Amino acid sequence: MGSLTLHKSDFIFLERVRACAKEVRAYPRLDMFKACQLISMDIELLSSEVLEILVRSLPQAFGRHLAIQPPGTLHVSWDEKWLLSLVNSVSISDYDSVKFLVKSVVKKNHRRDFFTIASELWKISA
Amino acid sequence: MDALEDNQNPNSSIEVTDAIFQGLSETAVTTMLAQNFHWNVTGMAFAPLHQLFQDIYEDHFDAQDSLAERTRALGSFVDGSLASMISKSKIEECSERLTDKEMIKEMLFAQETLASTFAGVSDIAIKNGDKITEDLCVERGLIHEKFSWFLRAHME
Repeated sequence: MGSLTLHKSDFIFLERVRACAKEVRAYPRLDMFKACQLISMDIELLSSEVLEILVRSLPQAFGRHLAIQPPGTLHVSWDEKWLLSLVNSVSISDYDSVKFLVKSVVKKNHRRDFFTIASELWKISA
Repeated sequence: MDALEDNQNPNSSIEVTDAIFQGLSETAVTTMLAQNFHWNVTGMAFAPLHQLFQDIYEDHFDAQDSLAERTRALGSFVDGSLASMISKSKIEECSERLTDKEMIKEMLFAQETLASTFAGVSDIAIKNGDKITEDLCVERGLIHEKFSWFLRAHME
């Protein structure tokens, strides 16, 4: 992940993630289980709604606060690189990488739910 | 418009009080978490950690009052039930027996979450032109960042 090359599209996506993370800071908790239910519902979710579900469920999945920079920051944190790698891997259906990325940081008890969320992330990269 | 009305815009106060309630809920859960850790911490760093967790829950207990009273001043009811607060809080209770290091890690997560939540509440207050709530949230954010720093220093 250290050699991840950031393209312009990655930065555009990252800025969306950062703006979303800033927006949802004062929102109530969204459990992984609830996030999983929301994302699995048989309704067309907007790309921004999928992104919000992902961003709000990540702290519980990681078991810690995420380092997501304020919009406009040039420095890309490790967590942001991880997120970019995850979304890029989902978008090219590289599920071995998705599995590795999820297993490397997501808490064991949340992995199953997180895989469900991850499988829907093509919607935000499309 | 006088100074009081200037900070109590009825059209915008629901968004602000909902956001304050989020901060209040997380503060309440963290108060219990800190008291739990204060009672149960063990290990070589018992004395400083026992004291630090006490400092945290004492500060947070007072803060709950300030946040709830600000909500009342804005004209909203405060749902003071623990069940409601726990259901909204991004910080979770802890019923497991943790080591001193695990307690520091959990409390650091709580403090960083609180700092982030209050930054968000402050943004909402700014958007609604509520300087008093903004000031309260900035102060809370500073305190949570200070506690985060203290906790991180224990892990270095």
